[in-house]
Amino acid sequence: MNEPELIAGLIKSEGKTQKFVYEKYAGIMLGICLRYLKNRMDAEEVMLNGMVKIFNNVKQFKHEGSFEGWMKRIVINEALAHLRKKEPLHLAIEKDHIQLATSEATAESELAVEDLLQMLHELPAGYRTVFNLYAIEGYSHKEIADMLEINEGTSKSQLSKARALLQKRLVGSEISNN
Amino acid sequence: MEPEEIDKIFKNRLSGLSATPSADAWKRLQHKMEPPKKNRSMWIYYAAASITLLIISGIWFFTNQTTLDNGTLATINTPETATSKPVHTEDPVTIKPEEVKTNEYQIAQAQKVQPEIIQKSTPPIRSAVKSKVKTKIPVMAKAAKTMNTEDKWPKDKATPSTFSPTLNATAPEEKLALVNQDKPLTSEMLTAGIIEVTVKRDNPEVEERSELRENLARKTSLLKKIYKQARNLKNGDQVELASLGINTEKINSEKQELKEKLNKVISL
Repeated sequence: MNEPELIAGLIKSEGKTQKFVYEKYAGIMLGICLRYLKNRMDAEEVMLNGMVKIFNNVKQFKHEGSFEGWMKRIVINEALAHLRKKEPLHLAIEKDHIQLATSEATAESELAVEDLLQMLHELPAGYRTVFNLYAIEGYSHKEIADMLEINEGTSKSQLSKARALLQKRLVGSEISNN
Repeated sequence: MEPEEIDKIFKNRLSGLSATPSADAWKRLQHKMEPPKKNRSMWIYYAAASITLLIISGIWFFTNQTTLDNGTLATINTPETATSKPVHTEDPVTIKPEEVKTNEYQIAQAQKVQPEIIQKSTPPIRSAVKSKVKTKIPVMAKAAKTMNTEDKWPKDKATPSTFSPTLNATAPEEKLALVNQDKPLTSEMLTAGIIEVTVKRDNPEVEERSELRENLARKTSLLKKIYKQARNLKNGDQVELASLGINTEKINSEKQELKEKLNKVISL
Protein backbone atom coordinates (compact mmCIF):
# COMPACT_ATOMS: atom_id res chain seq x y z
CA MET A 1 0.00 0.00 0.00
CA ASN A 2 1.53 3.32 -1.03
CA GLU A 3 1.00 6.71 0.54
CA PRO A 4 -1.90 7.99 -1.63
CA GLU A 5 -3.72 4.67 -1.14
CA LEU A 6 -3.20 4.92 2.60
CA ILE A 7 -4.55 8.45 2.70
CA ALA A 8 -7.56 7.52 0.54
CA GLY A 9 -8.32 4.58 2.83
CA LEU A 10 -8.01 6.73 5.93
CA ILE A 11 -10.31 9.38 4.46
CA LYS A 12 -12.91 6.66 3.95
CA SER A 13 -12.35 5.60 7.57
CA GLU A 14 -11.55 2.06 6.47
CA GLY A 15 -10.82 -0.05 9.54
CA LYS A 16 -8.40 -2.15 7.54
CA THR A 17 -6.31 0.87 6.50
CA GLN A 18 -6.37 2.32 9.98
CA LYS A 19 -5.05 -0.93 11.40
CA PHE A 20 -2.36 -1.01 8.73
CA VAL A 21 -1.24 2.55 9.48
CA TYR A 22 -1.27 1.83 13.18
CA GLU A 23 0.88 -1.25 12.83
CA LYS A 24 3.32 0.53 10.58
CA TYR A 25 3.72 3.77 12.53
CA ALA A 26 2.69 3.17 16.15
CA GLY A 27 6.24 2.13 17.14
CA ILE A 28 7.86 5.23 15.66
CA MET A 29 5.22 7.52 17.12
CA LEU A 30 5.61 5.94 20.53
CA GLY A 31 9.38 6.45 20.19
CA ILE A 32 8.80 10.17 19.62
CA CYS A 33 6.49 10.42 22.62
CA LEU A 34 9.04 8.63 24.80
CA ARG A 35 11.61 11.32 24.05
CA TYR A 36 9.30 14.05 25.29
CA LEU A 37 7.59 12.31 28.19
CA LYS A 38 9.18 10.49 31.07
CA ASN A 39 6.26 8.24 31.86
CA ARG A 40 5.78 5.36 29.45
CA MET A 41 2.04 5.11 30.05
CA ASP A 42 1.67 8.81 29.35
CA ALA A 43 3.69 8.40 26.18
CA GLU A 44 1.48 5.57 24.98
CA GLU A 45 -1.67 7.51 25.78
CA VAL A 46 -0.39 10.53 23.88
CA MET A 47 0.57 8.31 20.93
CA LEU A 48 -2.94 6.85 20.80
CA ASN A 49 -4.53 10.29 21.02
CA GLY A 50 -2.26 11.41 18.20
CA MET A 51 -3.36 8.43 16.09
CA VAL A 52 -7.00 9.27 16.70
CA LYS A 53 -6.31 12.83 15.60
CA ILE A 54 -4.54 11.56 12.50
CA PHE A 55 -7.45 9.28 11.57
CA ASN A 56 -10.05 11.96 12.19
CA ASN A 57 -8.23 14.77 10.40
CA VAL A 58 -6.66 13.08 7.36
CA LYS A 59 -8.72 15.39 5.15
CA GLN A 60 -6.67 18.30 6.45
CA PHE A 61 -3.43 16.81 5.11
CA LYS A 62 -2.49 19.20 2.30
CA HIS A 63 0.19 17.04 0.65
CA GLU A 64 2.89 19.51 1.68
CA GLY A 65 5.77 17.26 2.59
CA SER A 66 5.46 13.60 3.42
CA PHE A 67 2.47 12.04 5.13
CA GLU A 68 4.78 10.54 7.72
CA GLY A 69 6.14 14.00 8.50
CA TRP A 70 2.58 15.28 8.93
CA MET A 71 1.73 12.42 11.27
CA LYS A 72 4.89 13.04 13.32
CA ARG A 73 4.02 16.71 13.61
CA ILE A 74 0.59 15.84 14.97
CA VAL A 75 2.02 13.45 17.51
CA ILE A 76 4.67 15.98 18.58
CA ASN A 77 1.98 18.62 19.04
CA GLU A 78 -0.01 16.16 21.08
CA ALA A 79 3.05 15.52 23.27
CA LEU A 80 3.62 19.26 23.71
CA ALA A 81 -0.01 19.75 24.69
CA HIS A 82 0.35 16.98 27.24
CA LEU A 83 3.53 18.53 28.63
CA ARG A 84 1.84 21.89 29.00
CA LYS A 85 -0.96 20.27 30.97
CA LYS A 86 0.85 17.71 33.08
CA GLU A 87 4.41 18.85 33.26
CA PRO A 88 4.59 22.63 32.99
CA LEU A 89 7.47 23.49 30.74
CA HIS A 90 9.09 25.99 33.11
CA LEU A 91 10.90 27.42 30.18
CA ALA A 92 12.17 30.29 32.26
CA ILE A 93 14.20 28.09 34.58
CA GLU A 94 17.67 29.60 34.70
CA LYS A 95 19.67 27.80 37.29
CA ASP A 96 21.00 24.32 36.92
CA HIS A 97 19.39 22.91 39.97
CA ILE A 98 19.48 19.34 38.88
CA GLN A 99 22.28 17.20 40.16
CA LEU A 100 22.88 14.56 37.62
CA ALA A 101 23.36 11.11 38.97
CA THR A 102 26.17 9.25 37.32
CA SER A 103 24.98 6.22 35.49
CA GLU A 104 26.84 3.00 35.01
CA ALA A 105 29.92 3.39 32.95
CA THR A 106 29.65 2.85 29.25
CA ALA A 107 31.82 3.94 26.39
CA GLU A 108 30.32 6.73 24.33
CA SER A 109 30.10 4.51 21.33
CA GLU A 110 28.38 1.91 23.39
CA LEU A 111 25.97 4.30 25.02
CA ALA A 112 22.70 2.47 24.95
CA VAL A 113 19.59 4.13 23.60
CA GLU A 114 18.03 3.63 27.03
CA ASP A 115 20.83 5.61 28.66
CA LEU A 116 20.48 8.49 26.26
CA LEU A 117 16.76 8.44 26.81
CA GLN A 118 17.37 8.42 30.53
CA MET A 119 19.61 11.47 30.18
CA LEU A 120 16.95 13.25 28.22
CA HIS A 121 14.31 12.43 30.82
CA GLU A 122 16.50 13.87 33.55
CA LEU A 123 16.48 17.25 31.84
CA PRO A 124 13.89 19.78 32.97
CA ALA A 125 10.85 19.57 30.71
CA GLY A 126 11.61 22.89 28.98
CA TYR A 127 15.20 21.98 28.13
CA ARG A 128 14.16 18.55 27.02
CA THR A 129 11.47 19.87 24.74
CA VAL A 130 13.69 22.41 23.02
CA PHE A 131 16.53 19.93 22.66
CA ASN A 132 14.18 17.34 21.18
CA LEU A 133 12.69 19.80 18.73
CA TYR A 134 16.00 21.34 17.65
CA ALA A 135 18.59 18.57 17.83
CA ILE A 136 16.51 15.53 16.99
CA GLU A 137 13.47 16.78 15.05
CA GLY A 138 15.47 19.45 13.26
CA TYR A 139 13.17 22.44 13.73
CA SER A 140 14.66 25.92 13.63
CA HIS A 141 14.63 28.20 16.65
CA LYS A 142 11.94 30.28 14.96
CA GLU A 143 9.68 27.28 14.47
CA ILE A 144 10.29 26.18 18.04
CA ALA A 145 9.49 29.67 19.31
CA ASP A 146 6.17 29.53 17.40
CA MET A 147 5.31 26.05 18.62
CA LEU A 148 6.03 26.77 22.27
CA GLU A 149 4.94 30.40 22.20
CA ILE A 150 8.29 31.66 23.49
CA ASN A 151 10.99 33.98 22.15
CA GLU A 152 13.63 32.71 19.80
CA GLY A 153 16.18 33.86 22.39
CA THR A 154 14.56 31.70 25.05
CA SER A 155 14.66 28.74 22.71
CA LYS A 156 18.37 29.29 22.06
CA SER A 157 19.27 29.64 25.73
CA GLN A 158 17.21 26.57 26.61
CA LEU A 159 19.05 24.61 23.97
CA SER A 160 22.50 25.64 25.16
CA LYS A 161 21.57 24.79 28.74
CA ALA A 162 20.23 21.42 27.69
CA ARG A 163 23.42 20.75 25.79
CA ALA A 164 25.56 21.73 28.76
CA LEU A 165 23.69 19.38 31.06
CA LEU A 166 23.85 16.54 28.57
CA GLN A 167 27.54 17.12 27.99
CA LYS A 168 28.18 16.88 31.71
CA ARG A 169 26.42 13.59 31.77
CA LEU A 170 28.20 12.27 28.71
CA VAL A 171 31.60 13.35 29.98
CA GLY A 172 30.79 11.96 33.39
CA SER A 173 29.90 8.65 31.88
CA GLU A 174 33.07 8.73 29.80
CA ILE A 175 35.23 9.57 32.78
CA SER A 176 33.70 6.91 34.91
CA ASN A 177 34.13 4.59 31.98
CA ASN A 178 37.81 5.31 31.76
CA MET B 1 32.93 18.04 23.16
CA GLU B 2 31.36 20.35 20.63
CA PRO B 3 27.69 21.17 21.13
CA GLU B 4 26.91 19.92 17.63
CA GLU B 5 28.52 16.64 18.56
CA ILE B 6 26.12 16.19 21.42
CA ASP B 7 23.23 16.89 19.10
CA LYS B 8 24.59 14.33 16.69
CA ILE B 9 24.94 11.61 19.29
CA PHE B 10 21.37 12.01 20.42
CA LYS B 11 19.99 12.42 16.94
CA ASN B 12 21.71 9.32 15.62
CA ARG B 13 20.56 7.17 18.45
CA LEU B 14 17.17 8.56 19.23
CA SER B 15 15.66 9.91 16.02
CA GLY B 16 14.75 6.44 14.84
CA LEU B 17 13.65 5.37 18.29
CA SER B 18 10.84 2.89 18.09
CA ALA B 19 9.03 1.10 20.87
CA THR B 20 6.34 -1.52 20.70
CA PRO B 21 3.13 -0.33 22.27
CA SER B 22 1.39 -2.54 24.79
CA ALA B 23 -0.83 -5.33 23.47
CA ASP B 24 -4.10 -3.66 24.28
CA ALA B 25 -3.11 -0.34 22.68
CA TRP B 26 -5.00 -1.00 19.43
CA LYS B 27 -8.16 -1.80 21.34
CA ARG B 28 -7.77 1.35 23.36
CA LEU B 29 -7.30 3.29 20.15
CA GLN B 30 -10.52 1.84 18.75
CA HIS B 31 -12.26 2.71 21.98
CA LYS B 32 -10.99 6.27 21.65
CA MET B 33 -12.31 6.40 18.08
CA GLU B 34 -15.81 5.41 19.12
CA PRO B 35 -16.95 8.25 21.43
CA PRO B 36 -17.36 10.86 18.69
CA LYS B 37 -19.66 8.51 16.74
CA LYS B 38 -21.77 7.92 19.83
CA ASN B 39 -21.92 11.61 20.53
CA ARG B 40 -22.99 12.31 16.99
CA SER B 41 -25.84 9.82 17.08
CA MET B 42 -26.97 11.13 20.44
CA TRP B 43 -26.87 14.64 19.05
CA ILE B 44 -29.17 13.58 16.22
CA TYR B 45 -31.64 12.11 18.70
CA TYR B 46 -31.59 15.26 20.77
CA ALA B 47 -32.08 17.41 17.70
CA ALA B 48 -34.95 15.25 16.43
CA ALA B 49 -36.62 15.40 19.82
CA SER B 50 -36.25 19.16 20.01
CA ILE B 51 -37.62 19.58 16.47
CA THR B 52 -40.70 17.49 17.19
CA LEU B 53 -41.21 19.42 20.40
CA LEU B 54 -40.83 22.61 18.42
CA ILE B 55 -43.46 21.59 15.89
CA ILE B 56 -45.88 20.50 18.59
CA SER B 57 -45.38 23.68 20.57
CA GLY B 58 -45.73 25.67 17.34
CA ILE B 59 -49.07 24.07 16.55
CA TRP B 60 -50.19 24.60 20.12
CA PHE B 61 -49.07 28.20 19.98
CA PHE B 62 -51.01 28.88 16.78
CA THR B 63 -54.20 27.25 17.89
CA ASN B 64 -53.96 29.36 21.01
CA GLN B 65 -53.32 32.48 18.98
CA THR B 66 -56.30 31.94 16.67
CA THR B 67 -58.65 31.62 19.64
CA LEU B 68 -57.14 34.80 21.00
CA ASP B 69 -57.80 36.53 17.69
CA ASN B 70 -61.42 35.44 17.78
CA GLY B 71 -61.67 36.93 21.22
CA THR B 72 -60.38 40.29 20.11
CA LEU B 73 -62.71 40.27 17.12
CA ALA B 74 -65.63 39.61 19.40
CA THR B 75 -64.75 42.55 21.61
CA ILE B 76 -64.46 44.78 18.56
CA ASN B 77 -67.85 43.64 17.38
CA THR B 78 -69.70 44.23 20.60
CA PRO B 79 -69.88 48.01 20.50
CA GLU B 80 -71.13 47.99 16.92
CA THR B 81 -73.79 45.42 17.59
CA ALA B 82 -74.79 47.35 20.66
CA THR B 83 -75.45 50.46 18.62
CA SER B 84 -77.29 48.52 15.98
CA LYS B 85 -79.31 46.58 18.50
CA PRO B 86 -82.08 49.12 18.97
CA VAL B 87 -82.78 49.04 15.25
CA HIS B 88 -82.53 45.32 15.21
CA THR B 89 -84.85 44.48 18.00
CA GLU B 90 -87.48 46.94 17.03
CA ASP B 91 -87.70 45.94 13.42
CA PRO B 92 -90.56 43.57 14.05
CA VAL B 93 -92.24 46.16 16.27
CA THR B 94 -92.60 48.58 13.39
CA ILE B 95 -95.21 46.35 11.89
CA LYS B 96 -97.67 47.63 14.48
CA PRO B 97 -99.58 50.35 12.72
CA GLU B 98 -100.88 52.21 15.84
CA GLU B 99 -97.47 53.09 17.14
CA VAL B 100 -96.72 55.70 14.56
CA LYS B 101 -94.50 57.65 16.86
CA THR B 102 -92.25 54.80 17.62
CA ASN B 103 -92.22 53.95 13.97
CA GLU B 104 -91.09 57.41 13.18
CA TYR B 105 -88.48 57.19 15.80
CA GLN B 106 -87.26 53.89 14.52
CA ILE B 107 -87.03 55.18 11.03
CA ALA B 108 -85.12 58.14 12.28
CA GLN B 109 -82.97 55.83 14.25
CA ALA B 110 -82.39 53.62 11.29
CA GLN B 111 -81.29 56.58 9.27
CA LYS B 112 -79.10 57.89 12.02
CA VAL B 113 -77.34 54.65 12.33
CA GLN B 114 -76.67 54.70 8.63
CA PRO B 115 -74.20 57.59 8.73
CA GLU B 116 -72.78 56.26 11.94
CA ILE B 117 -71.68 53.13 10.23
CA ILE B 118 -69.47 55.22 8.03
CA GLN B 119 -71.27 54.88 4.73
CA LYS B 120 -71.76 51.22 4.95
CA SER B 121 -75.26 51.42 3.64
CA THR B 122 -75.70 50.96 -0.06
CA PRO B 123 -76.18 54.21 -1.99
CA PRO B 124 -79.29 53.12 -3.98
CA ILE B 125 -81.32 52.78 -0.83
CA ARG B 126 -80.30 56.19 0.33
CA SER B 127 -81.27 57.77 -2.90
CA ALA B 128 -84.56 55.95 -2.74
CA VAL B 129 -85.18 57.40 0.65
CA LYS B 130 -84.24 60.85 -0.51
CA SER B 131 -86.47 60.70 -3.55
CA LYS B 132 -89.46 59.92 -1.43
CA VAL B 133 -88.80 62.89 0.75
CA LYS B 134 -91.66 65.31 0.22
CA THR B 135 -92.01 67.86 2.92
CA LYS B 136 -95.11 68.09 5.07
CA ILE B 137 -94.16 70.62 7.63
CA PRO B 138 -96.64 69.85 10.42
CA VAL B 139 -95.78 66.21 10.45
CA MET B 140 -92.19 67.08 10.36
CA ALA B 141 -92.61 69.18 13.46
CA LYS B 142 -94.38 66.29 15.04
CA ALA B 143 -91.56 64.02 14.21
CA ALA B 144 -89.13 66.47 15.61
CA LYS B 145 -91.10 66.61 18.82
CA THR B 146 -91.28 62.89 19.12
CA MET B 147 -87.64 62.69 18.57
CA ASN B 148 -86.96 65.23 21.27
CA THR B 149 -89.20 63.50 23.74
CA GLU B 150 -87.91 60.10 23.02
CA ASP B 151 -84.41 61.30 22.93
CA LYS B 152 -83.86 60.19 26.46
CA TRP B 153 -84.79 56.62 25.88
CA PRO B 154 -81.85 55.65 23.69
CA LYS B 155 -79.53 57.69 25.88
CA ASP B 156 -79.83 55.00 28.49
CA LYS B 157 -78.40 52.41 26.18
CA ALA B 158 -76.18 54.32 23.86
CA THR B 159 -73.58 56.76 25.04
CA PRO B 160 -74.92 60.31 24.97
CA SER B 161 -71.80 61.86 23.56
CA THR B 162 -71.92 59.83 20.39
CA PHE B 163 -75.62 59.78 19.97
CA SER B 164 -76.72 63.39 20.31
CA PRO B 165 -74.29 65.03 17.88
CA THR B 166 -75.22 62.62 15.14
CA LEU B 167 -78.83 63.32 15.87
CA ASN B 168 -78.34 67.04 15.40
CA ALA B 169 -76.20 66.72 12.36
CA THR B 170 -78.47 64.37 10.52
CA ALA B 171 -81.65 65.90 11.85
CA PRO B 172 -82.82 67.85 8.76
CA GLU B 173 -82.50 64.97 6.39
CA GLU B 174 -84.09 62.54 8.72
CA LYS B 175 -86.97 64.81 9.49
CA LEU B 176 -87.64 65.07 5.84
CA ALA B 177 -87.48 61.36 5.55
CA LEU B 178 -89.89 60.97 8.37
CA VAL B 179 -92.55 62.99 6.59
CA ASN B 180 -93.67 60.12 4.47
CA GLN B 181 -95.10 57.80 6.99
CA ASP B 182 -96.93 55.68 4.51
CA LYS B 183 -96.61 52.03 4.92
CA PRO B 184 -94.63 51.41 1.74
CA LEU B 185 -92.02 53.81 2.97
CA THR B 186 -91.72 52.26 6.37
CA SER B 187 -91.45 48.87 4.83
CA GLU B 188 -88.79 50.18 2.60
CA MET B 189 -87.07 51.65 5.56
CA LEU B 190 -87.37 48.30 7.21
CA THR B 191 -85.70 46.66 4.30
CA ALA B 192 -83.09 49.33 4.47
CA GLY B 193 -82.63 48.46 8.10
CA ILE B 194 -82.26 44.80 7.25
CA ILE B 195 -79.73 45.56 4.61
CA GLU B 196 -77.88 47.66 7.10
CA VAL B 197 -77.66 44.75 9.43
CA THR B 198 -76.31 42.49 6.77
CA VAL B 199 -73.76 45.11 5.80
CA LYS B 200 -72.69 45.45 9.35
CA ARG B 201 -72.20 41.78 9.58
CA ASP B 202 -70.31 41.78 6.36
CA ASN B 203 -67.65 44.18 7.35
CA PRO B 204 -66.36 42.38 10.43
CA GLU B 205 -66.31 39.26 8.35
CA VAL B 206 -64.04 40.99 5.86
CA GLU B 207 -61.85 42.09 8.70
CA GLU B 208 -61.88 38.60 10.05
CA ARG B 209 -60.97 37.24 6.68
CA SER B 210 -58.05 39.60 6.24
CA GLU B 211 -56.84 38.73 9.68
CA LEU B 212 -57.20 35.05 8.97
CA ARG B 213 -55.28 35.57 5.78
CA GLU B 214 -52.53 37.32 7.72
CA ASN B 215 -52.47 34.46 10.16
CA LEU B 216 -52.23 31.98 7.35
CA ALA B 217 -49.34 33.87 5.75
CA ARG B 218 -47.55 34.00 9.08
CA LYS B 219 -48.08 30.30 9.61
CA THR B 220 -46.89 29.35 6.15
CA SER B 221 -43.74 31.47 6.49
CA LEU B 222 -43.00 29.86 9.84
CA LEU B 223 -43.67 26.42 8.48
CA LYS B 224 -41.24 27.20 5.68
CA LYS B 225 -38.63 28.20 8.23
CA ILE B 226 -39.24 25.04 10.22
CA TYR B 227 -38.91 22.99 7.07
CA LYS B 228 -35.69 24.78 6.21
CA GLN B 229 -34.21 24.07 9.63
CA ALA B 230 -35.33 20.47 9.40
CA ARG B 231 -33.56 20.19 6.07
CA ASN B 232 -30.43 21.76 7.61
CA LEU B 233 -30.65 19.16 10.33
CA LYS B 234 -30.96 16.37 7.80
CA ASN B 235 -27.93 17.67 5.88
CA GLY B 236 -25.98 17.96 9.09
CA ASP B 237 -25.78 21.74 8.89
CA GLN B 238 -26.27 24.03 11.82
CA VAL B 239 -29.81 24.37 13.05
CA GLU B 240 -30.80 27.85 14.11
CA LEU B 241 -33.71 27.68 16.47
CA ALA B 242 -33.52 31.42 16.88
CA SER B 243 -34.72 31.94 13.29
CA LEU B 244 -37.94 30.19 14.25
CA GLY B 245 -38.42 32.73 16.99
CA ILE B 246 -38.07 30.10 19.65
CA ASN B 247 -35.34 29.96 22.20
CA THR B 248 -34.49 27.24 24.64
CA GLU B 249 -36.03 29.08 27.56
CA LYS B 250 -39.34 29.26 25.77
CA ILE B 251 -39.16 25.60 24.86
CA ASN B 252 -38.37 24.70 28.42
CA SER B 253 -41.23 26.74 29.78
CA GLU B 254 -43.57 25.21 27.22
CA LYS B 255 -42.28 21.80 28.09
CA GLN B 256 -43.08 22.46 31.70
CA GLU B 257 -46.55 23.67 30.82
CA LEU B 258 -47.17 20.58 28.77
CA LYS B 259 -45.92 18.43 31.60
CA GLU B 260 -48.25 20.17 34.01
CA LYS B 261 -51.15 19.65 31.65
CA LEU B 262 -50.28 16.01 31.28
CA ASN B 263 -50.04 15.64 35.02
CA LYS B 264 -53.46 17.23 35.42
CA VAL B 265 -54.91 14.86 32.85
CA ILE B 266 -53.30 11.91 34.55
CA SER B 267 -54.53 12.98 37.96
CA LEU B 268 -58.03 13.37 36.51
